[in-house]
Amino acid sequence: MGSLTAIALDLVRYHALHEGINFGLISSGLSISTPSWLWTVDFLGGFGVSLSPQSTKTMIMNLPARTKTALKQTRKLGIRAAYSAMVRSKLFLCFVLVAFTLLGTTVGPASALLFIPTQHWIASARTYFYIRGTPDMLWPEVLGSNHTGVGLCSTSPIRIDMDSCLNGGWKKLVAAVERISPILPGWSLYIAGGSAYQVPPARTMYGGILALDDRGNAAPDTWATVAHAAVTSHADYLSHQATFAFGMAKGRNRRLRDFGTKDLMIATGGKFPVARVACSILTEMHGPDTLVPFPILTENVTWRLPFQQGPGLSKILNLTDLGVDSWDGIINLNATTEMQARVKWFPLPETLGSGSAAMLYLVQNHSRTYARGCVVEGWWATGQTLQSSQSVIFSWSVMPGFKPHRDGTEDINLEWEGGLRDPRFTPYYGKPIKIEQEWLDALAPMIPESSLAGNDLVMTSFEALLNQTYLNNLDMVLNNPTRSGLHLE
Amino acid sequence: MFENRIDDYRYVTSMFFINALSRVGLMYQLVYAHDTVLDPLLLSKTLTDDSFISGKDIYDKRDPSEPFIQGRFESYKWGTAWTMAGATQQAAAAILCLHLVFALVHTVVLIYLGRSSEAWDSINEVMLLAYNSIPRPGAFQNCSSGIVHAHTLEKKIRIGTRTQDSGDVQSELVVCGDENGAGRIEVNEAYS
Repeated sequence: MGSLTAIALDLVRYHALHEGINFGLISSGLSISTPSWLWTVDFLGGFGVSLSPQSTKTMIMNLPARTKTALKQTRKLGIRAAYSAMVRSKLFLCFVLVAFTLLGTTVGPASALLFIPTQHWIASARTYFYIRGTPDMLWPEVLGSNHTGVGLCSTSPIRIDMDSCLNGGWKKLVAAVERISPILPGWSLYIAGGSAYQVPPARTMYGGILALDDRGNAAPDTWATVAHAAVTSHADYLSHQATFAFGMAKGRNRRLRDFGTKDLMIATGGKFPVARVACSILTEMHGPDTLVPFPILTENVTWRLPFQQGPGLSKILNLTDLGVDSWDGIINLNATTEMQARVKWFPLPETLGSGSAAMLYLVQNHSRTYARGCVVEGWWATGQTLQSSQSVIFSWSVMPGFKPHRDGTEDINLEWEGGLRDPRFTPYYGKPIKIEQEWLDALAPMIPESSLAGNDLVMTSFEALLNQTYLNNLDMVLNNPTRSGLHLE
Repeated sequence: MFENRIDDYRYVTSMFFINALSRVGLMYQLVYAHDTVLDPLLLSKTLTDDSFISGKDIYDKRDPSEPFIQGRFESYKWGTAWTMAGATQQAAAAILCLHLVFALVHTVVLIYLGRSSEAWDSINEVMLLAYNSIPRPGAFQNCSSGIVHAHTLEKKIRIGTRTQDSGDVQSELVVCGDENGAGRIEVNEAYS
């Protein structure tokens, strides 16, 4: 403030010693600390403006013309003379006094504001990285025989422990569904990774469940998402490299190393899968030509409308037309597979709507067999793969879109609270993935070690997942009339 | 547990399907025989200092013709600090910078001109100047108990000089147009 006053006093003194200054302005150097001075009689009178609105308006209206004239005159003079003319001009005096008064009023609060520290994310390690593969190798639009993993994945016994096979992590899924019942309407599942530097690292799956009984605020689709293992493998490696680099930190980076307690890692540039599953009502089976309803999905539209009663749009198909009539699950109806679920995956028939693949699902009790048609739809979404302090045990999560998730808030939302149809997410989903039969065969291969004792039923990995978990208690579903599974839909 | 077990089948199906999709292409990142090891050809350069933390790329750039997808890795730390991140902080800094610029320009001008003064920079000094001046009764009438008319404030005044009978030159407040032979103040001259 002192320096502004000194400048203003200097200018006033300069005017007073040369052409003179209006009497009202003689003390202006000492008044600039008070903003109300700008609308006093002293200030306005000093510049020949009365307090009447008309006079003020006239002065403002004339200001551009006066400025123009002053500039024109200035241009005719040399630099030195122009400087002198400018300093002597009343317009300049007015500008300085107004500017200094405004500045003097705000400079104190402004410096106080800068003294207040804020909480936020500060960038540390960052780099470009390279995922090996073409888009068709990593997130293909059509999944076929080229996308089933290494050759070992299709050898017997099936490599359910190999992470790069489609069934990698299968045991973790079994362990999860044996013990955990998901919480409606959203669920999350921690998939453990290897130890440090082993890939793929831990990831957290997120999903939502369509509730049939319209209780609560259930999602209108059953869906799931998880980070892509190829992307997380690189991202996790880089997070370890960052830790390693912090071990060598010097100067500012040493302060950054000791700064704060929470970390956030973001990898962009890769894609990750998002999928939904819809299943229509149960139908009693009589033979290979039974008519079974299948859900019809519409791209970017939920299968069921929120608060709708009953299932969404379905279409009745003849199993013979679908080419699944030769499947042993149908041929051997009521044979030796009592109380077990059987599943047949096949490419999406053209007659159905949007989607990636279809699934025929059978359940049997001692006298009857019931079928259910399902459609799965998957997309490759673009967005961010993240690990934050909100992550479960250093696992990686995903978030569609590229909006920075470090917008000044501490909590990074990883939970997909808006669900599958969050309008912020849907633009990033892409087109539904198409799937060929070869990939579906590799998706759910036969696991001989999962055959049932006492009969010749060899299950696929998917059937084993369904039947070797708590889900195998089909008595709850089929034999108890008070249970809604059979009747509600 | 579920009231309706049918929900579980959809849940398990979505989980099983998404798990498989997320592993497509993972094999290209791994050493074939070691399922849990990232291929050494895909690793970054060996880190020898902390430049990675400062944002230096740690990979050699790949030829665009090679089958690689470029990704971006960024890490952040959360904490309390002084920054210029917010608009209010930026506005505050701009105000302070403006202040600084005015002060610097003024300093440069003073150094360039080689002169400075602290005369008449308080009310007391201005009062004394006025007290030592010869009154111009015609210029400021009806002002002894306050200024009522705007034209009083519009009167142009300046600081001039008057030679006293003793020969001393004294500064005084004069009204322009009624200067009565008042002189000009000169730099580096002493006034009584």
